[in-house]
Amino acid sequence: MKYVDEYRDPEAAQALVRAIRAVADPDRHLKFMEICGGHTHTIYRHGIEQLLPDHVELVHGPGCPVCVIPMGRVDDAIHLAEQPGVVFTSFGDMMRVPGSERSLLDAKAAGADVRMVYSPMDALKIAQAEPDKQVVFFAVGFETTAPSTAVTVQRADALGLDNFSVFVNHVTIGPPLRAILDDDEMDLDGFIGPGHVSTVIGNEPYQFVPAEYGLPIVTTGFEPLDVLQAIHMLLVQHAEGRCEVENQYTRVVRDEGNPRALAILDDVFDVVDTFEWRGLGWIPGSALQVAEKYAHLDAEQRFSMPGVRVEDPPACECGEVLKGVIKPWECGVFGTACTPETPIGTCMVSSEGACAAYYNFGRLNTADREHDDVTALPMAAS
Amino acid sequence: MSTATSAPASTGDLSPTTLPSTDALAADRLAQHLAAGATRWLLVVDPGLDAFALATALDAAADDPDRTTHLAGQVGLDRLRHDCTPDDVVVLVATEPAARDTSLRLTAWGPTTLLLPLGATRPEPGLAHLVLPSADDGRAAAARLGRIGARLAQRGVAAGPPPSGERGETCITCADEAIVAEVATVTDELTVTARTPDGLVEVDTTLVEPPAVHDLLLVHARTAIAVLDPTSHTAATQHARRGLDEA
Repeated sequence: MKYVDEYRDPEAAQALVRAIRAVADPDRHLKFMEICGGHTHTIYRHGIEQLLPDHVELVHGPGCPVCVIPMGRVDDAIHLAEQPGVVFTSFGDMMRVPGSERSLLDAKAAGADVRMVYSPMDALKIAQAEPDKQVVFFAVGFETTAPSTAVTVQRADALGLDNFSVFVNHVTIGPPLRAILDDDEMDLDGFIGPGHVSTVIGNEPYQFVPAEYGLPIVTTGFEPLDVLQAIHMLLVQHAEGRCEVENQYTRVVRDEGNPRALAILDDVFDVVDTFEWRGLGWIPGSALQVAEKYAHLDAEQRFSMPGVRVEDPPACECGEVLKGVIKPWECGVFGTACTPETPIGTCMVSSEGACAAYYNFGRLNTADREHDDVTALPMAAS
Repeated sequence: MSTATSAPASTGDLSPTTLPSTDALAADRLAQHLAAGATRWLLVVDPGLDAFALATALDAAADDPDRTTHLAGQVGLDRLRHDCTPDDVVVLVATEPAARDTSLRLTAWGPTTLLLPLGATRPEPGLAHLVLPSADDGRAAAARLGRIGARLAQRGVAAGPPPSGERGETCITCADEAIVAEVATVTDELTVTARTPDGLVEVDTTLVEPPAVHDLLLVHARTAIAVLDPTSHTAATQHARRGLDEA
């Protein structure tokens, strides 16, 4: 998509940066976590970190679903792809994610029938066109992606297809937020909240953040001015002694979310007891599984799965990056052994991963910090 | 085709040093796109606003009067929907609410869009854009457009880095891949054909209220997850508005 300059106007950015500097208390270091990988991408691409005063820090959260899928689940996917007669379908993002030994792309090169699709409906169409094959869709993503999988499951059920199934790895945003807030290593002062996830779930699910942890959260869009405005809103809340769920992304997100999507999710999926997140470990109630009434469309029911848990490579510090404990460049293999061309960890694979975003856009001279001339920074040049 | 509609307004003081920085940046951005070889310009202007000077400057800078098409008002919107392609550059000179509605649709149609906001009413923060208007009436707006055109004529088109209009590689799996699409035809109660920067795509509408032709959808993995209303907002923006007012 080509951009509309209105969201990238340097003069408006300068006004917001001035407002941020005016409201930020220089005697208090505040640390805000952006949850979505899309926000991380925007922040690095447009040099937003360099515009902020030193006492306002951004840390990157676990909102890249590709990044948080553990290696064992990728191995399970490769195992499915290598079954005779199986067509394994996936979004392109997951193709290069490394398992313990190989990726789906490697499996495809070795002869497995792995096909990239743009929607789960594409996978369903393959199943209709090739009834002699078993078509499996690799379902990965947060609550934005899950509804399209759910609609496809309902459609497959209505069509009576017996050669289509989904390998579900859908995760939910609330439980990992709680896990991060309960982590003693983390010391956060607020959240730049998810944008399109909130289109589905609304703002209500975030109420526990201010209510139980006393922190503000602002649902935020993905353009640079959106992110700057959200940071300003967080700082204003701190300055006024408030902590609330606020919605910066009102042009898209409604407080109630999308009731139809929520109803379909409720029909097709159940919440799992626990799910393993890369870097965050096992988090109760943090993922979805196919409900009993659609179990015949669940790949984990239809096929035997290895289900082996695999540790991350010792050199990879994706887990610490995903928790916001370290910045990407503080990982020992960042930019040397681990690059987008030769990724070791998932954060370098996904274009929305923090490491890839920083590798591609973030390597600015730190002397540019406190830069008063916004037009000299990447946002003006993009 | 150049169809500028009226006589030039006064362009006021042409000294670059007196230009508001947004106007200078607008001229610079126009010039960058010209230098990068943008092949066709669609200049869309609210009725009643005089954009003769800007249209003339664009034609002159492009060195080809056939590259610029000057459209106006609601007629312009309909024609814009029909004519514009992802390869075009659209210069949208508009006041609210037309600016908000048209700029959102342009994200679905795919051209690079340069919005020159005008008018006395500040847009709602977080709704459409945060650019502060710099003109309160038609005469002042015309003068501003004239200054931008003059700046464009002064600076030439060679300088400056080429503009980067692409958002870059994105991740479908992530929630952030959702794109704006405009309904072109309604196929059945659960499916529409929608216009996106990549062309027409089939979109499942199970998750939203049945849309009509020209409705705007937020689409993720070819499934509509919301029907967008460019004019709606919620009370939650009050805090943001207050913050910007203080700024």
